[in-house]
Amino acid sequence: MTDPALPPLSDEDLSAALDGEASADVVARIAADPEAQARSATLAAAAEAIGTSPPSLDATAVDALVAGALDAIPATDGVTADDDPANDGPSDDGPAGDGDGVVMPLAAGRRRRTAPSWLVAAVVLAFLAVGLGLVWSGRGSDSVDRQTVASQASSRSRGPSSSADRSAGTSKTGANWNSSSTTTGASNPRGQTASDNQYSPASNGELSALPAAAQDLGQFPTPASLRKALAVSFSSTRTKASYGGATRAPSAAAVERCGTQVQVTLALKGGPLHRGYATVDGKQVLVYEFRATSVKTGKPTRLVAAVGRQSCDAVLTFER
Amino acid sequence: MTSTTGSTPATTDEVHDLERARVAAAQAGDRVALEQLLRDHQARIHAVCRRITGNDTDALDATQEALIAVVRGLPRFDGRSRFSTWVYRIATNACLDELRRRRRRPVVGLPEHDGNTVEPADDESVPFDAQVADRLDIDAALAELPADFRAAVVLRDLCRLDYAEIAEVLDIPAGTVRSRIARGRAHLADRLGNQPEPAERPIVTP
Repeated sequence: MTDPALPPLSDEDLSAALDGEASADVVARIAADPEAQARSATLAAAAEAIGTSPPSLDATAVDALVAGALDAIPATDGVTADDDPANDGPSDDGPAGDGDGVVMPLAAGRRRRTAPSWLVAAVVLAFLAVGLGLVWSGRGSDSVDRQTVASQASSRSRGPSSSADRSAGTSKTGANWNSSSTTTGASNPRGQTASDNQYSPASNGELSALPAAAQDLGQFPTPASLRKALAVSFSSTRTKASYGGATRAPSAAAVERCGTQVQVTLALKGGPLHRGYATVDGKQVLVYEFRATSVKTGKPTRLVAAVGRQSCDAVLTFER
Repeated sequence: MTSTTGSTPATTDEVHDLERARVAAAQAGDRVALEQLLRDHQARIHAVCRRITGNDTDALDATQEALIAVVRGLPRFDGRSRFSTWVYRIATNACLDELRRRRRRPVVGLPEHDGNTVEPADDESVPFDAQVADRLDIDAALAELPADFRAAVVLRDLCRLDYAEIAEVLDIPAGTVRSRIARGRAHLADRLGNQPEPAERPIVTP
């Protein structure tokens, strides 16, 4: 029986009791109150429903996720003798440092905030100089391309003959991309070298250090039309594709996940040189270009693969 | 958390000891230990992300970003909290970030969003989409909750964290955790149990 002098039991009381977080007094009141017990059972059913694990990922997806994460290991391959965590000290400024009981934003870090201003200025100036140089030469990498669409247009207008230049430029900037963030340039255990477009090492755990988002390649009615557009070079598709411009850009994580899966599935040595996305027959696909060895000639070539965004299943693959 | 490979520890203490050893090894540069840590935790991370984001695609993206954040942040994990709690923090942040990103970008024409999912509620809560009212399920019910409520409920009912741990993960007072879980469950109980007509549906506000 309930005591009329006491306030009625609330859902918060009942919920806390379910979790073993209520006082003994509240538990006793629930035990004596059939109405509260009925409501408690309803809440328990909801909790049980939420507690049902969603379907787990298949082994392929797990492998791709883990591989994608391992690719984010700093170029020194984690913490080595040259990068002893003790040198950094036990930090509470990591993505989940608990020293102050605050969930730190993943992109935050005190070390970064305390960087000398002269160093920040120097780095900014260096990037500006490199960026301007790339824009000037029309050989920007994918990330530069996105930022300098105007300069890219002139590069594309040179047509197929400029593809070799573009490739060379990409390789060069790809190397710079890695060297800008690692001092070793050594191969990692996956056999990838500094020339591979893998994650830039990030010492502060920033998600923003993920590879830049993929290039929007446009919309195509069929896989064949996409293949035709990519036949010469990756970025030349923009001059041929019809643009809707309303498709959602995939996240960097999605792009990297499928890129890794394609790389593993096709046993390619390096990561994608180019990343893009397109709409084919109304469906979004992710597009990659890899260095590869031709199965026909045995000579170095470029392999282009387009895959569905969700399951990374192949939509189109061909060699140039 | 049970290891997905290798021998299964017999007790909770053994699980924690094994996990501590793996964390230490991974921090010392042992790639195998790091990979095992990721495999040990990926299922839980994905489950959390699946429930919080409400659909497979965003869950995969958030899971990937969480795993990457674990790798990059591991050198600075100082062991003052349990590793699993630290991982849940990262996973929850990744999920909430993914939801924020999704709100900022258009979703029209997404082929993989084929109607099996629903958009999550903004923190102000949104009306339930009548199109999926007939297929009310856990995802749909959860999607009606503000993201912060959803995270609290998922961390409690799916991950079995206690209120103090959830407070640590979400960086909110334990009393707020208690309130959010209660209100979230009450809403879910009403939705899952009664499935009222749209006009009768309760609106949960933070």
